[in-house]
Amino acid sequence: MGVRSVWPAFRAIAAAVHCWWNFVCVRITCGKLKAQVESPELSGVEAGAGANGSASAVSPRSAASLVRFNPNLYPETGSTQEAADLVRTESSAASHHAEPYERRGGERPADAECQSDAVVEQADGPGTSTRVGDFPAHATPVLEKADGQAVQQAIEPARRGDEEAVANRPPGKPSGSEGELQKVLDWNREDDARGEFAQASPTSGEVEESGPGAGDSGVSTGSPSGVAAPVPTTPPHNREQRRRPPVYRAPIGGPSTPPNLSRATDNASTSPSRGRWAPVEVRVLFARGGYCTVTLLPKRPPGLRDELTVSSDIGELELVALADEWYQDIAPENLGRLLRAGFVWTDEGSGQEWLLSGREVFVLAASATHRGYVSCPRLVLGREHVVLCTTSELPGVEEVLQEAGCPVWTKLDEADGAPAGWVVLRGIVPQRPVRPSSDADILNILRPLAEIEIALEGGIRLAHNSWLLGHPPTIRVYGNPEHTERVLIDGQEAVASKTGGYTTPEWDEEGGHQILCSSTNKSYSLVRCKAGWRFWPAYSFCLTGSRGGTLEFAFCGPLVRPVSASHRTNSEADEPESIQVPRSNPVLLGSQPGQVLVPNWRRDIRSAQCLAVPPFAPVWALPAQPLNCDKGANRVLLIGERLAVGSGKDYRQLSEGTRAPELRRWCRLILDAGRKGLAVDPPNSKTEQLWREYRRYARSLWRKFR
Amino acid sequence: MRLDHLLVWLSAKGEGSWSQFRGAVEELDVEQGEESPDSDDEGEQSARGTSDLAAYQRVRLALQRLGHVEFFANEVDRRWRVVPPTVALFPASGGDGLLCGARSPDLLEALGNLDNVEVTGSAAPGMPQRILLRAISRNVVAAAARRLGFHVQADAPMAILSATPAVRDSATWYRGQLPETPGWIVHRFSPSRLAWAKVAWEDARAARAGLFRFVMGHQRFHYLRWRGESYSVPVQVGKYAVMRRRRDILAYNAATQVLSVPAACRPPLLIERALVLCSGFLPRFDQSLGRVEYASVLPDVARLSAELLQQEVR
Repeated sequence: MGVRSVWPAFRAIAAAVHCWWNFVCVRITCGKLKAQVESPELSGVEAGAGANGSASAVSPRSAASLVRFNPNLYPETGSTQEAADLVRTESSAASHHAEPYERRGGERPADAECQSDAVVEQADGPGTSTRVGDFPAHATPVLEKADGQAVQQAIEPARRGDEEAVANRPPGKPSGSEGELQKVLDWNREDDARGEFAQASPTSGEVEESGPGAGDSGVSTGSPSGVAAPVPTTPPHNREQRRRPPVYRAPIGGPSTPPNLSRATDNASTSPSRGRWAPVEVRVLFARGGYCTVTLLPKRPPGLRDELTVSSDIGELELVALADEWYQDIAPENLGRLLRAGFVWTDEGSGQEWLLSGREVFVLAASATHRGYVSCPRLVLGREHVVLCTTSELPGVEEVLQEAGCPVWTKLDEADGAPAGWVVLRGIVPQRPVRPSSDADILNILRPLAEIEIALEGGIRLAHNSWLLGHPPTIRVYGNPEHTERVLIDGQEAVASKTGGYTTPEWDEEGGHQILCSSTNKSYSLVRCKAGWRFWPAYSFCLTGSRGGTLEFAFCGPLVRPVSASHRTNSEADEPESIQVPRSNPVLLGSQPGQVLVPNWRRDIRSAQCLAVPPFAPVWALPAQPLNCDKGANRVLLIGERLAVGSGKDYRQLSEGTRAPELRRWCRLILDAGRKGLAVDPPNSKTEQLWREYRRYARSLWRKFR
Repeated sequence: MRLDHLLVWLSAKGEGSWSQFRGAVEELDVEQGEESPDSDDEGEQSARGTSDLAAYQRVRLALQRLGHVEFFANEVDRRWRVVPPTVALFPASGGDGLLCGARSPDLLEALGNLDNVEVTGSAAPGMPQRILLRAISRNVVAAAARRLGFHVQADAPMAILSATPAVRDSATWYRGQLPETPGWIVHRFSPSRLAWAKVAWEDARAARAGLFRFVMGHQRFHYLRWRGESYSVPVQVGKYAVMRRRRDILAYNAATQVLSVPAACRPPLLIERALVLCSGFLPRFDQSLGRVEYASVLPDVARLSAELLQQEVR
């Protein structure tokens, strides 16, 4: 037995000890990682990444990075594999939330964007540096010391478990054989070195742009598109003001998720405003003669003032509320440049910011909340859109639109109102889905996804999902017709009308309704208009009367009413109607003896009529002094209904009471007009007969009380 | 149809904020109608002679002039409220009445079922459908309207004019204070040229009489200086208040029953409403003459309008 014969056994024992030691170390490391993820005191990027459950902290590269930079934890190569496995296991649950967004490949929610951005930063920037800084400065990459077998052991799980990472590796990166695996390690090492470099560079809240392939191009970063949007690392309320507008990141292809069609139409209510950031939509209005207007439509976050002055690169801009959730759209002079480069507007008072990511292609759809077309995420099958693109992108845009089966479109250039350097394409109705490009291509937003959505359009909407009975919405199903199964409304199969709207015999009846189509559902209700309209004094004026005092009138639309006590007390009681008294016949008589009214006239205007509200139903209007008037010019006017005098009662039933002066006056005016021989108006037998009855009654009464 | 929808929406809501109204105009995609110049209290007139008013301002003015909805009135500051359904009887007709105010699908259906009353609708640009009720006499129309719970206003144009104060009735003006903060651009209305001219702030303060416009950003206020005092008045009232009695402002053709005024001198709201209710249609803009024409105006109405505006009728 020489040393040579004992040496293999010694190596085997040493290896076993190392394995055990590494196992213990890895468990400790995993426990530490888990604690970091769960710890609320985590700071900066680590906290963001952990809270978001991103996959970056657990990517194979990161795992390898941990292995290489911690000699205490992974002193020998045998531990690397376990470490990578364990860390991946730990990460799989944490990365679960990020997975759907990765699969979407297109638009993503704001929070997902935040997650991905935080992930990227953690992988390439300050996050990595923070983590590296935790390790001793003299740490040496362990794998560099390892022999070939150990290297293979270390890399193999990573290769097995992260084929996607390898598949996404940049061209020219090695894979497969041992030598290639060594090159992979070198490549990873280079990336980590880039991470260190990133750590060395100062960060001041402004995130460097990282295009596709920048930084870690081979390993999934957790971003759905693989591209990081420039999102600040600090919470919005703490970060400094942006110094550079964001740049739009194009979506990449991949398995699609249902497009949120309502974003284009219902974005007023659903568009998220992340913290103190609010979006600015692009709007296109078409005028007569084929002219168009392109404007910017800033969202109005809750609680913000009606009128604001915001600062921007082009100076101060005034925002005036358009509706509860929107500010009035504006059209800056250099709109073309703003659309291409993006911008940030800031309200210094509240810190509120409005962002528009610069890009060269915008898709707009008819809006349910605004006239014209408002920007939306992407083209949707069957829906009419407008595309706004730069002239340089126009050939590519038109090519993709043809792929999407858009039959025809109208092109409007700068002379037609498009911003300088931009073209407006109108009448875009995509007919067939197009698979998005696998790279981050801005034209992917022009490639419609094969999905459907139930849309409620038109009608008179009173609240979120309730419409006025008699004006229901048109029920449409957008998207790929091949994906559209039966459309059911309240369980009954609906049929499409000529205009494309789905109906059933009872779809427009009062109450709630449910629409179901291909596992997508939507509800709406039709409510009856409650009639509760009353007269109310919109305007009121005091005028001076001819006999002194004031005449106060209230207006409401075409209605004119004398102001009464109920108006002053804001009562909802209905007011009696006023009547116009002609100046030639200012004395009003009712059918009951004693019903006489001589209204007060306004003094300032000669030709004005007199408005009166007599406490009785007036029948006749007489001249003020019948005996002294011009018989040829004056008449006895019938101004009300033909009420029988005394309500048909005999004059003998009346008793002389406190109203005797009015009784006598009523009788005397009628008798005087009769003595004068005034004609009646309208001059017909019915009126003359009624007037004779009044005269007869008045004569009898006069005799009784004489 | 979109303006009809808007009116039905307003009727269903009853009242609301200015923001809600603007949102509804956007959502219902209300058509613009023919562009006609509005007085420059609402927006600057462009070189073409037409107004650059926003769509919702034009819709507001149309609804206000037709007596369907009231905006920014006494009890609805920065808000709107719909007028109750009202039949405004025409001045001289035998039995014609105009439907004003709230409308609902049920109400319109009930109108169609009325006996002895013919209901006709006429479409016109920039306004909801004009709905006319016609019967053998106004009493029949009024009785039918009351049965449906409508209000009735007999001889609506004369009634409105008879209760409207004259433009120089200072008792109806509100005292105001000229803005003293710096930055205001001040204009003075020239009654002879019917145009605004820029003046210094001190001129407005020193003036014994005159109409002044203070502009800063989108803010615009009008002040009437009258016998050394400042009043805050609607700009139309102010213009006629400072204008001398002239024969070339109001023109009336008795044969065609058309009353016209220069586009820069629209009458105050209530007087204009009375003129609009003579026909039920918004005024027509004669571009060649630069005048706004009101149709079916009876001589009495024209005379009374002129008297309230302190002008002669040509």
